[in-house]
Amino acid sequence: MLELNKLTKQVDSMAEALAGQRDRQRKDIEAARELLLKHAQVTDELCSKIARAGEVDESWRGADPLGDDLNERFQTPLTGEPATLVASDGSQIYPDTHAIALYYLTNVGTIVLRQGSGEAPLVTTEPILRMAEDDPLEEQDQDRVDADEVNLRRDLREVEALAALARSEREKLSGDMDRVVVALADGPLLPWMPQRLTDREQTQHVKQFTAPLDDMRASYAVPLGYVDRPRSANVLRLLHLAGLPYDAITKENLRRGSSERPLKGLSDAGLFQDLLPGQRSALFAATSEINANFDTAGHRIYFCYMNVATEMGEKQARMVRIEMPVWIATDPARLEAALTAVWSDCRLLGYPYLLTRAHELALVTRQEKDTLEQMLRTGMMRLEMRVEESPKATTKRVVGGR
Amino acid sequence: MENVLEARVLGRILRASTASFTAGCRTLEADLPVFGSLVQAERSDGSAIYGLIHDVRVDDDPFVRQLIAAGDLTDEYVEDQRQRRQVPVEVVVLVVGGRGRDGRIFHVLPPQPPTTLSWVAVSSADEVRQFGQQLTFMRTVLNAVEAPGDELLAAALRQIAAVQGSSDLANAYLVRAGQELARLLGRDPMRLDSILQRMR
Repeated sequence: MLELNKLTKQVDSMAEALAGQRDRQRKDIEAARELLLKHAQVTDELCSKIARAGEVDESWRGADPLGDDLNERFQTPLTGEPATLVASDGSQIYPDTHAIALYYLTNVGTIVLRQGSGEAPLVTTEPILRMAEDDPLEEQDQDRVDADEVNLRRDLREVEALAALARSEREKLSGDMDRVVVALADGPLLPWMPQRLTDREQTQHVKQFTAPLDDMRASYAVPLGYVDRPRSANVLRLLHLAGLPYDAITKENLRRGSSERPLKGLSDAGLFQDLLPGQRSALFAATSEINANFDTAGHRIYFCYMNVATEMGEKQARMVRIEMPVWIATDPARLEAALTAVWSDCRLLGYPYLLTRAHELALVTRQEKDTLEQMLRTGMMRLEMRVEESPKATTKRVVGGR
Repeated sequence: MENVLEARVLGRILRASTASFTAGCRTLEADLPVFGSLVQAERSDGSAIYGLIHDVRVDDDPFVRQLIAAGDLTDEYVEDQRQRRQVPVEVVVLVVGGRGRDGRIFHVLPPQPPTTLSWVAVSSADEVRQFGQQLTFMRTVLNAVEAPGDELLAAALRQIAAVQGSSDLANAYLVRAGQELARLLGRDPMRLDSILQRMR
């Protein structure tokens, strides 16, 4: 039970703190934008500083620019040639040791929209139910599938589904390579990998996640990762690095930069919030170990920031981070055509319609989960198994049902 | 399901009782069910339950509201909402009779309601004509508590008359139905007049 009356003072304090933070950040963003202007030119010196940062701190999460101007802006056209958009999203039921059985479920929803066709989009959902212990179908070092592992498997299924759809759409176009096929993922293209993974497991996962990118490259599709309200600060860290003398690039100094004003608490999205509607920033690659592994596989991931709003003004700006593999980042015409299609799809909701629908398709509701467990219960009882959730789960359900 | 029935399929049973049932169907604009139409819920033993559509409900949906507020929608988005999203149109039906396993039509409430997910189809002209031959279903409609009985009866009679084959036969049918109505509502001339007006 939440005694809201005990929170009124805390809520007021928090509102005041947030207002103070907002005022501080306004000033800091201005300072950060001045830094962006000051260090906009990508010089050999900056490149050597980036290399040095990687040497002194392997975990430095900075940005490596693709072009020669950090502050370059590109306007996406309001309309373009009709494209085919495919999107996927996944949801899951995590293993629960208190449930009637230790299982997990991943469900992937997909949608294909052919702009200009007038046809209803194609939609699918594909659920997979698995035992969470000693799964003989999966190669893994530990014998139990946990929430992190479920997330990884769900993410992999999402990107595999995208690749399959992109391939199928390209085949249906019977050799027409001019029509852009955009494969839109909900979130970054670089998967988040748990720290505990062994090198062998990480290598295995990178191989699994880059295989669909190979596939999409072969079907001449444009994979894009769409990150709404991004909190990352790779470009800000790059600006901090640019201001450091070469000899001062140490692990301590690199870490201090993002924990001191003006960069503390800011995000790249705030830095680029002055992008006009449809404008995107320059392209950068995140300097992370996993991206280095993707690079080895031929798919170094780049990103840019884009304002997908249609109204002018910083307050109306809707900042997103768009990720893409290097072979799209270096193909400006296809990138522009794909961003035009995505921006058009964002116009209804301020967020891609396709991702909204893919999410809706993938979502497993509480009621559906209950029905699934009822089916499982019936199946187990038919085999004369004892079916029992833990007393903790039962009491939580009873109390939570109020 | 037989192909003939498939061509007229409306949806499937969502919930049912002996006296009424609700079917869920997709929102295809051209096929939106018509108030007063005779429909039938099929049973696996070959029998069917007949009813009259008295309400069509389109669910409230926040997503659709958001899209309406957004303005211009291209056809692909409209068709997605209409054909692909799981927001069924609910069609509420008043049970007025049925067809036994032997093919005979009856005009009283069936012994059992239709079961969940049974197919519901719009009755063919022949079936409507056959069902309308006897007028005993009129009392059931007039006595309906949860349906607008007077409006429903007038709409149903107009539709049954329309499939009689010619305008003379249609008029003759309406006259016969009017006479039966006068017998049923002899003590309530105001109500009788109101329904007769609606039947024209």
